[in-house]
Amino acid sequence: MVRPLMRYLAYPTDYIFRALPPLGLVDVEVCILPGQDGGDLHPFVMARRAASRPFAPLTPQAQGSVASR
Amino acid sequence: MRDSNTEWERWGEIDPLYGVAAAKGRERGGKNPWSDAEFYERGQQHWQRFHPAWRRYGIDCRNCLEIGCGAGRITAQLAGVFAMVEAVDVSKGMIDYAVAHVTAPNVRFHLTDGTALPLESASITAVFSTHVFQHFDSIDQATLTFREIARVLAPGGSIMIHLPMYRWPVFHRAPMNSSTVYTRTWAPSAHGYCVLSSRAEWCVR
Repeated sequence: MVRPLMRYLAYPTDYIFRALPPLGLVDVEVCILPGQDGGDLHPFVMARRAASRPFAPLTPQAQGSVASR
Repeated sequence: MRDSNTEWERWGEIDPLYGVAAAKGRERGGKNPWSDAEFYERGQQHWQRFHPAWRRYGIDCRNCLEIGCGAGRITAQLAGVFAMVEAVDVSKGMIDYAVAHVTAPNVRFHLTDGTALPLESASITAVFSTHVFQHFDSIDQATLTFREIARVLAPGGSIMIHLPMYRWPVFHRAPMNSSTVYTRTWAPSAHGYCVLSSRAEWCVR
C-alpha cells in the first residue's frame, strides 16, 4: 500500500503578527505549550476578533463544562 | 483541488487514526496500531493542556468551530465545553469516522472543500484547530483560511490555532517587525508555558 504524502509547513513567527491584524484579529499571541512528555513544543496562535466594546467577562456558566450547562 | 486536500482525503480512506496521530508503529497493520479507546484518550490528554491556556486568554463557550476535525480526537473534548461545536474537514473518510465515534448531540460535522466555511458571518464565538495548518500547501492557503475564520468569528470571539513556527527566538528579548512586538521566552515546562505577545505589556503564565 502506498501511503499519501504527509506534508509539513512551518511559518515565520512574524507572519501572524503581520497577517492577522488586517483581518480584524487583535491581541495576537503565540502560546507555546509543552508536548505530551514535555519534549515537543507546540505553538498556538491566540487572537480575538476586534469588538466594538470590551469583551464581556465570562459567566461561570459560560466557562463551565457540560456538567454545568 | 489542492494537493493537501487530496492527500488528506486519502488518509481518511486508508487509516484515519494514523493520519491524525502518526506515531511509529501505530499504523494499521503496524506493531501497535491505534485502538479507538487509546486514540480518543490521547485527545483528552491533549485537550487538558490546551484548554487552560485558552481559558486564561478568554473564551466564550457558546459555540466553537473546529478547523480540520479529522477523526474527532479533539472534537469529542470540545463537545464537553462548548454548547455547540461545528466541526469541519476536507476528508469524507475522516468525517465518516468521526460521526461514527463522536456521538455528542451538540456536534455538527461538515465536509468542506477547504476554501469556504459553511457558516454565517459573525456566528461563531470560538475557533480551534490543531495539527492542521502544518499540512497546508502554502502560507497563502493559511491566509485565506484566517480570512474565513475572521469572517465567521463574532466580535470578541477568540481563536486558538496550532501553527508550527520557525525563527522563534529563545532566551532573548528583541524587537520583531515593529516596535510594539517584543519577545521574551524561556523553557516551557510541564507546569507552564511562554507567550509572545503583540500587546504592550507582557504576561507571564
